[in-house]
This record gives sequence, structure tokens and C-alpha cells, in this order.
Amino acid sequence: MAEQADVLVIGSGASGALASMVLGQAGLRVVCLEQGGWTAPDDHPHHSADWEWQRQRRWHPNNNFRRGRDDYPVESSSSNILMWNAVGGSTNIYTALWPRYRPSDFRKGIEHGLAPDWPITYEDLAPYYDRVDRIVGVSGLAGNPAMPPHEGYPTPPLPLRPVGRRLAAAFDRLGWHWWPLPAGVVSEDYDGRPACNGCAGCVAGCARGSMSKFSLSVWPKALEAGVDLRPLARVERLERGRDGRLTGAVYVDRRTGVRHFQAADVVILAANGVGTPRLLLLSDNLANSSDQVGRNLMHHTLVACELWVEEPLHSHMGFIGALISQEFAETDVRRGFVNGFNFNCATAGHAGGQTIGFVTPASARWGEGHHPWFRRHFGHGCAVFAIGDDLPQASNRVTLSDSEKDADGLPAPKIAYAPHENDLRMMRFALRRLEDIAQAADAFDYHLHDYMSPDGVYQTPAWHLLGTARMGGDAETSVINRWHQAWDTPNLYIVDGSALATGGVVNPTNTICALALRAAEHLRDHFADLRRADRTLPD
Amino acid sequence: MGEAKALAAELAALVDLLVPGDAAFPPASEVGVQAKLVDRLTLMRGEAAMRELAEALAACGGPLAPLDEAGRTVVLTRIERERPDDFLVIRNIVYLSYYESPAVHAAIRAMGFTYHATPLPEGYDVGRFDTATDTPRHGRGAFVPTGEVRRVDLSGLDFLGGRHG
Repeated sequence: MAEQADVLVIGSGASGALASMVLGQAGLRVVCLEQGGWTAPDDHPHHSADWEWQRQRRWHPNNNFRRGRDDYPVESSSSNILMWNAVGGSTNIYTALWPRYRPSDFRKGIEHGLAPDWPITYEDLAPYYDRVDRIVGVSGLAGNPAMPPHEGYPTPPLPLRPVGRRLAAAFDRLGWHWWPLPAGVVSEDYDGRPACNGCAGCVAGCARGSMSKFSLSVWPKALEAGVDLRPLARVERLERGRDGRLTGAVYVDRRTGVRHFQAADVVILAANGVGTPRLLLLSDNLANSSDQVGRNLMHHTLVACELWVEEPLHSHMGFIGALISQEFAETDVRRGFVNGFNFNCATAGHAGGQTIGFVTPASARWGEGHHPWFRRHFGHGCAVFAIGDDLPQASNRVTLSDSEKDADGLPAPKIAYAPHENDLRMMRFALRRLEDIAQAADAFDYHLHDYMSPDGVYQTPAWHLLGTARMGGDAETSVINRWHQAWDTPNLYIVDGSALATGGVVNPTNTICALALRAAEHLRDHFADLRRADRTLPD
Repeated sequence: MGEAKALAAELAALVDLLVPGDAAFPPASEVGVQAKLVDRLTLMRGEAAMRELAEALAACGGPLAPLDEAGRTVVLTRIERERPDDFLVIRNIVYLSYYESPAVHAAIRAMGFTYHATPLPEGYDVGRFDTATDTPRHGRGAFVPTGEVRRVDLSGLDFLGGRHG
């Protein structure tokens, strides 16, 4: 048996990296098990002329399509589940859009009751957002009137560029809010990482580490603090003692095929909103007296518009994000639905990606019309995504597959997800607003995308895996308490996206990180008591 | 014509039908797209991929090589309509392969764009955020503070069936 750990962290992505770093720096013996290996900077395809092809193959974000050696299959006829299994998790291939949740996101129970209140407020989380920005390295512009005031960002905003200016003018014409997009990308050299050089390879991750790839930004600090990170270690199940507390985890060393047991006083799950409920279900339905494990899966609503204007935008250059608009972020029931959405404005890709359809199925013609299409469209395009707050529904859930297994014989997760009528109404409204933007930008061509299959199934690209072990104020309707401690299992903490009670209207990684930092610091500060806790802290 | 030359002619005809040349851009076959098509289609679909491609073309009126431009277009249009998934795979491989070519990059640069074959190491000089001109001055935007979140009136949302509010 391996030496007893103070804390066992399962999963080395954004939340697991931060938790490991905080607890390691406190002098605790921390072991982190990661089923994937390292994705080194030179592994990224950014130095290859075929990099756009590679993005469609081994750098594809859908693990079912990619079928990498470190991946596990996901059974789903709806969501296209996207993730990356390696040290740093999906930060190896995300785009690091870094907005915060807003105060009302934490109060949906009060606001309409179709989703729960969180047991914490925006104000509880705000200091951790500030500190995450400094740890991770973020660029942005303070003073956004659509958000509560907060500290400035550690590096200035990324350049607005012609794409941003053109869309800003369109928003001005419509009288709508816009703001430079906060990004987990440094615009100046920061903390040993080089400033973004505008290479525009963001869709295949960031080989430079200008974008916060956590294996380059957070893990070096965690390793320096003595954290015992074990890549290629796939956890099979968590083990409980007679007292109901966890004793540790059984994992397979994927290099040797040998199984090991790692004992620990405290276990932190950080395996994402699909991997975490999968592991709980694999562990004899652990922490699930509420029957909420795996339920309430949220991805966000998503619709998009790709548009082209006569002005050259040079939209194959620079960071993929440009602007954010929070004009429709708050609930206004006159629109015909509750909750809101946000616009993320983006660039349009390199030549190959543009011709096959960068964001929407709009692609270059074949035959004699190909080059005329290319001359008109390439470098003249941009994209706007409307990303909204989908309602948590018990029927949207992660269960275990009856038929599919991973390479080690463990049942694959199975996903069921269908948007609520409220979500569909929001998406229809957002599509009309995207059309408004295209017209206000004087687009000569635009294409809307609703991610619906020909037979009407919403097949969203699901980067955001949220809500499947949510926090709450009681053990009947939630899995964990305000400090991320499982109601049923007092030495189990869940710190990834599954902890979120609602989805907000923006990309969630920043919020997941702030929550993980808060949970880890609380555990650190009360570790002497919590390591032996036989009951969960009251709300 | 021997089998090897026939296959080469067929592949060249296919890729040039998708991406022909013009005054500035070379045709796809001139930059070797057909070799990448074979390589990538075989990688995706196995050793039978080229035979299946030939059969698909034949089923839709091919082979292409003996046909004139109009006849080739009829065949590919049928494949696009009748076998859309196969068509998309082939088209996407051809497009992505074509835009990997240094000759095509030169043509893009001739359009007036700075364009690198690879994102790194060079990257692009996109300047810096210009505080004077790019800082929003519109003053628009609002949020509901935590203490001011109130119950909204759901009575107009008929799809909720009166269950909430």
C-alpha cells in the first residue's frame, strides 16, 4: 500500500490543479491522480502546416471522435461532449474566455424558482475571482458597467483589432452593451509566461502558454510545493470504511496495468461534470442519498452567427475572442423566457478552417465558384455566439452505459440532455438578435446556426459540463454543501464544474477556478478538524 | 491507360473539380492534394477507402476522368446530394489539404494579407489595446445586485403551465 496521503485529488484539470497547489503549499501531503499523460508544448500542432487538419483529428475536442489513448468514450445521442484528458485537463485545448458570473446567477431560486439559489453569493466568491485572475494570468479591462466593480486585471486587454472595432460599431448602432473580452491569456509577459503573439492557433490550445494552459501556469507551482502528481493513473472507484468515510481510491497505473490503492484522509474530486458523477456512480452510488448525482446536467444554450463584411478584418490573426456583450444577461420575462444570455464575439479562423465552415456549416463553394467565394470571404469574417443560462433539469443527466466501456473495462458515462422549452425560447430569441447584429454590421453574407440535427435534436458542442453534483443548502436537493463537502461523505469534496448550481450566461472556467480556490483554502484552514470529520458542516 | 495512371487521372480530376485553378490560385492537383486525399481518407476509413470512393463515383455516373467538365459536375453534384456525409469528408480533406500548400499561401499573401503557413513560431503583429480609442465610452450595461434580486412575474409564460410564480 502506498503511503497515506493527507489529501487525494482526482483529476488534474483547472480545479484539481488549483486545489493541489493550495494544499501542497500548505505543507500537506497531496497526491493527484490523472488518467491522462502530459500534453507538452511541442505536442501541439502549431508548428505544422497541417495544423488545421490535425485539429479535425487528434486535436479534435470531442473525445469520441479523437479516440486518444488517454480518453474514455461517452455514450450520447444528443450532446457532443468535449474534453481533454491530460495534466491540465481541458485547459490544454480550451479558449480561455474569462468572464465572471453575475450576482443574479446565484439567486435564481428567488428570481423565478425554476433553478435553485446557490448557498453562496457573488460577494462570497468575488475575492477568489480576483485572486484567480492573478494566479492564472488574465487580461481584461476593468470598469465594465454590466458587472459589479472589481480589481483591475493583471495584464491589459488584448487588442481590439478590426474584428472587435467592427462589432463594437454594430453594438453601438443597436444601442447595446459591449466590452473587451476578459481572457485567460496574458497580453504582457507575466509570471514567466510570454505575452500572446496573436498566432491565432487558439482552437488547438496554446503551445506558448500565453493562454493559461494549467500544466504550464499552475502545475509548476504545485509541483514545486511537493504535490505528488501521478499521470496515467485512472481511478476505478472510491473506497469507504465502515464509518462511511472514504478511505481512498483504487486506480490503475496505465503504464503497467497494475492496480493500486491510495489511502487518504480527504478525497477531492476534480474530474469534470461527466467524470465526477461517473466515478461516484461507479463507487456504489456514493454520496447520492439525494439522487442528484449525475442529474441537472447543464451545457448552456448556444446559437451562433458567422458573418462577413466588405472591410478586410484580417480575422485569421490574433486571439480568438474579441468582445463580450451582456445586453441580454439578466432576466426580462417580456422576452418570453427567464434567464439571459451573453454574446461572445470571435475571429474567423485560418484559410482551411474558413473554407470548411469555421463556426457554422457555411463553407466555400466547390468548383468554379470556389476562389471567388474565398476572395470575398477570407479575412472578412467573424463570429458571434449567444451563450445562455439553461435550466437545470433532473432528466438531463449522466448515468453509466450498459454497452460501452473504456480501455480498462470501466463502464462509459451515458449522457441524456434535451433543452427545456424555456431554453428553446431563449435560443430562438437569440437567433433573431444575432440577425440584428449581422445587419447592424452591414454584413453582405451571414449564416445562423442553431446546432439542431435534421431530425430536431439539439446537439450542442458541450464544453461546459455543469451541475451534476451540485452545491446547495440541504442534503435533499443537493450533493455538496457551501464548502463543497459531500453531505453524505464528510471527507469527500467536489470542486469541478459538477458543483455549480446554475450555469450562468458565460464560459464557466473562471467560476470553477474561483470556487475551487475557495474550497481548497477553507479545507486548508480547517484541515486539522476536517481530516477527521465524521459529519458534514451544517449550512 | 494502365490502372495506376487511370487512378492518378481520376484523383486529379476529382480534386480539380472541387478546387480548380484560376489566374492566381493553382488547381488542387498541382499542389499535390490528391496524394493527401488518399493518405487521409485511408487513415479515416481504412484500406478499402479508395475502392469505396471509386465505387461511389461509378454509382453516380463516373469515373470522372473520361468526362468533360459538365459531366464531371453532374457526377459530383449527385454524390453531394445522395451521399452527403461521404461528400463532406472528401470535400473537407481536399479543402484543408489545399490550404496547406506554400503555393496557395503565396496566392493568399498576394491578396494583401499577412499569412503564415503555421501559427508558430512567428505569430502575427496585432498591436496592443489602444486605451485612447478602444476603451468603451458608451456607459451602457447594468446588473442586478444580490440584494435587489426579486421574484419576476411568470404569469405571462404560458409554457410553464402556471406551475411557477
